[in-house]
Amino acid sequence: MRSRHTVELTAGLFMLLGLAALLFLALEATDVGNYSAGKSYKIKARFTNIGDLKSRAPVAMAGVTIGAVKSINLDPVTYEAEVVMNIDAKYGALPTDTAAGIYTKGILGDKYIELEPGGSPDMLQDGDMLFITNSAVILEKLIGKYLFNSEDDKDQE
Amino acid sequence: MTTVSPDTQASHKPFIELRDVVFRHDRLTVLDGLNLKVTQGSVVAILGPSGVGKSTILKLITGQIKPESGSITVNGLRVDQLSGNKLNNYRKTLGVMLQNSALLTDMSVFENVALPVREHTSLPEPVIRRLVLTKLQAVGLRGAVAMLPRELSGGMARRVALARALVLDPALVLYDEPFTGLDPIAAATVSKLIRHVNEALNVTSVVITHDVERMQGLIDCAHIIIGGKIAASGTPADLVHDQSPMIMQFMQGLPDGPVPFHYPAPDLAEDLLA
Amino acid sequence: MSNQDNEFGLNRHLLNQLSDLGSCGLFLPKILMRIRPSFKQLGQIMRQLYFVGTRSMIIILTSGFFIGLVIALQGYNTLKQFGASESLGAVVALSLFRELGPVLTALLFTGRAGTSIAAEIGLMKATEQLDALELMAIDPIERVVLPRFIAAIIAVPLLTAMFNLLAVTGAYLFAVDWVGLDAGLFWGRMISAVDLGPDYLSGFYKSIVFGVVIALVSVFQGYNAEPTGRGVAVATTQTVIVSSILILILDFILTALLI
Repeated sequence: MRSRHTVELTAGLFMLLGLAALLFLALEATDVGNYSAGKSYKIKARFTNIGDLKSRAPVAMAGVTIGAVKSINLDPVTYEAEVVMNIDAKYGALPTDTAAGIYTKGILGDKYIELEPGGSPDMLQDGDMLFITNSAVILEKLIGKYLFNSEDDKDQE
Repeated sequence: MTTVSPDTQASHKPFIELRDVVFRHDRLTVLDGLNLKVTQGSVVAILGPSGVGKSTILKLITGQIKPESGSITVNGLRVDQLSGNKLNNYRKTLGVMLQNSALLTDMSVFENVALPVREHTSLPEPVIRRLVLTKLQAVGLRGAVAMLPRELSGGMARRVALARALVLDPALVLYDEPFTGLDPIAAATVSKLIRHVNEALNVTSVVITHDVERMQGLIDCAHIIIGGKIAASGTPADLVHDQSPMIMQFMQGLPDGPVPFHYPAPDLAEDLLA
Repeated sequence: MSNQDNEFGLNRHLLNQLSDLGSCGLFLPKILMRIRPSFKQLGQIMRQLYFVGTRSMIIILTSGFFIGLVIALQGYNTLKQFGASESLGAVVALSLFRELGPVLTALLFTGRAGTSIAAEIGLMKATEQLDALELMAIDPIERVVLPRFIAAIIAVPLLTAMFNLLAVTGAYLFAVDWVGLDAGLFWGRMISAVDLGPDYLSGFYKSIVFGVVIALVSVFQGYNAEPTGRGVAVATTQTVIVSSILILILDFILTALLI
């Protein structure tokens, strides 16, 4: 028979392993550890219309995903949408005159944010705001525009 | 009531007294106005065929069940009125050896015997060890101290259960069918131990059994229960010579008599032809 | 005659189940009342934790690993058709943390440990061990039921975490070593998709509730078993049936509440 102490020790070991698994997953497999441990930083941008952009939508630069949309709020004064993005710190700092635009993956795919770097020597800090933004293109508005002034922009999709 | 043992006649007040006890289970009347007295220091057997409520009497004495009416007094305590902590305190003065020995299967013999001591006292480990080993020595099983209950034979398990029942030095020891399922040698050993314990520790012992043959030399007084009442009381010798048909049937082990061989049924011929 | 009997029997059966559930609920305060902050009790709980926790690890870890592999395999083949195979990490982690981890662990635990708790207590009752404790003025609920109850509640969330970890590991190995997805992409997508509160912690809360359910049902079934061999068998079967049904019903209710 196993002695009393071995039994209790193994039970203690079991608890330690379980807690370790619990903590490891909480810190390494969820957003919490990575965004709070300095592995990413936040930037903000305002758009007049975000279409159906959702939080957690990817943020890309030159087609490479470098972060994700953290939250979306409506500014009660300007009635613009304020989008907070988490940018992975390993892609380095971005110039202050970086432009943000909302685009669609494919014709009917999900919305995502594409960042285009500017040429400024100053770099964005955590929590900074982007000033150059392109709002989402809403397909219905586009079609409406096309139907009523078809002579204007013929090369629109 | 016939009390024989000379040393018990000195004390007038009975140690256990059941008065007019009625107990019903569902609609079946198990005990019907039972009166029983046990004097201090004696070994008393409660005999009877299976299913007449012998174990019910044991459960009434331990306070596991309450009678519908009547009173149960043990050592001046009204057991039928005890509950909660008072009942627990009363039970600490009891030693009970159950039919299945009922040792805890996940503990060694030592831990089983030590269990009541550990639970109810805060004695230091060396004292517990001495206490447990003394009791095990008394039942002849000091050598089995590290064994697990599943490694013990039926007779050894009973003796460990006896050691456990005695470890807190009870005033009253109750035995529920102590000989059932034991070979003659083991049964004789247990029987001898019961008598020995009674004399050495001056406890009162109540043995619930249907084993008539084991009574000789073990008990001072036997009560035969039939039909929810005491049908006869006396020394084993008295009972053997009792002429009433019911007692004769029980004492001599006749298959048919006042306790019928057949369970009540319609007429055989009618049943077969139906 | 048989028709009426059947109908009546069914109703009575339903009533029995309901009153069983009721007395099961009433059993909970009886157990909780007996919690004492003592080393003696802690030692007993740790001892039971070994039986229900440590000894459940093998089945939980193995199942977790293979469940992870299977979800990854299925998920990959589906996502590939939409050109979204890089989201595999997110799909695996979300389905595991929210649903599969807590529910599967709870069901496995019922089969592995819940049944053994019920059978053990039932057998102790059938062999008069519980009576013997009572006659030694030792409370069987405090001494036998409580340590098993608490140990099961502690074990379930911890085993769920281990299950999840092994499943994620299995999925990772499949994705990275077998089909050659980028390790950083797999893990990165997972991290950005899994929110601590709504995804990870909601699963954790679920596993605690499931732990309480299994613990309560097992000790109740064992403690109230008919003290015969058949009674113990019935208690074991009932533990699996009642726990599994309650787990799945509560899973739906909790998901609706937590989303």
